[in-house]
Amino acid sequence: MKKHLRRTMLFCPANKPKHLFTSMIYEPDCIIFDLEDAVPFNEKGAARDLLVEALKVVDYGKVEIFARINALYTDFGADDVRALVPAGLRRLRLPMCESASDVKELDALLTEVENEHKIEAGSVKIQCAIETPKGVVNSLEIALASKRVTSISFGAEDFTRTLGTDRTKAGSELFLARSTVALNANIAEVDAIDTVYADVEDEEGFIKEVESAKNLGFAGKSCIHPSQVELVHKIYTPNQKDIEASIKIIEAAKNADIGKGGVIVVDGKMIDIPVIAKAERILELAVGAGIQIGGAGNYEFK
Amino acid sequence: MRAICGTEDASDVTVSVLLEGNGIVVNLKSKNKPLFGRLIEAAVKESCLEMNVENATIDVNDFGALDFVIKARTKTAIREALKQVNA
Repeated sequence: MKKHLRRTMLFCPANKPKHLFTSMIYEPDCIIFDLEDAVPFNEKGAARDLLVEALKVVDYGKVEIFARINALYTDFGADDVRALVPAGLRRLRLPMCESASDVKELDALLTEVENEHKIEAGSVKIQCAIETPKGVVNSLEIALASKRVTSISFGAEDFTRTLGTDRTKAGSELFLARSTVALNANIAEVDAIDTVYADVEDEEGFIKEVESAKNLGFAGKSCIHPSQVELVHKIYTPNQKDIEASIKIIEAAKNADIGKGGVIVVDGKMIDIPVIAKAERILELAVGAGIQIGGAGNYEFK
Repeated sequence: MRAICGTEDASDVTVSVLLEGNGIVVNLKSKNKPLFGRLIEAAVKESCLEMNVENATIDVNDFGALDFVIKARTKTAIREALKQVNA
């Protein structure tokens, strides 16, 4: 089964009608329609109604659609869930997750809504937004709090605000937090999604941050402008040399039958299970990016 | 009291609902009225039906909104009007 790529998560405010039917033309892997910070208090209900009606009719194709709902401790969070899930939404981003109990509360509400509307149990998935120091420290228990959790995301703006510091271009104030979120996501076997980069004009700074996110182990990046989508995809898309090497490794591994252990040599390099796994990941990213690999559209991914 | 929802931005619509009158009366202003007037009116009436509203006067000022936007704005305005009635 092919794993869903989440290289880009494009934020779109749900209170702007145009975004609801144009945002997919930028071809992000995921769109997050925002009902939280981007929507003023007096427009919360109207934005929710817009998103509900859009979900009923707009074809978003292969793009994975999320909504960033309001936190459940606000007057709007539970209403968001009760309206969006029956309208067809199956991916929710829960803001300001600080402990497993935040996730369990949403899990229980989703179970209730799924039962009420005869929706397959457990089919609604959760992305947990880690946006405070407490959330970072608890990110492993958050990621493991429910089988519904498929990803955890890091939010630097609220994190630095809570920490009482400023966000810098160098990003050293975020290093420990980003590393912790990426590591804990890996342990929990969910995707880690990196924070947004707010300076849309600073392409060089954005590219550096995406490269560092990739190196830290993030599966993707939150984007606040369509122009950022292609830049992320470029960085997360393997080059031809890596693709060819990966095909060679996988073919050699198949022929040598070392799936359960052992070592082979390809082009003078020792190949074992971790190297094969990396090669599979490279091909998975390539196929997800739409690259045709001679017959490799049929590669089986974990 | 009237409840209003929507903006004058492109692809949006403003919908103003007064929960009074006999039946559903839709007053539509739209550049697209000759082409889509009947469909816009139908979307508004469908929303009223879904929300069990039988009597209302609804002013619609369309700026090129798609069907789903018209329905969403109408439902929000009805919900706000009902809140005012029940307050």
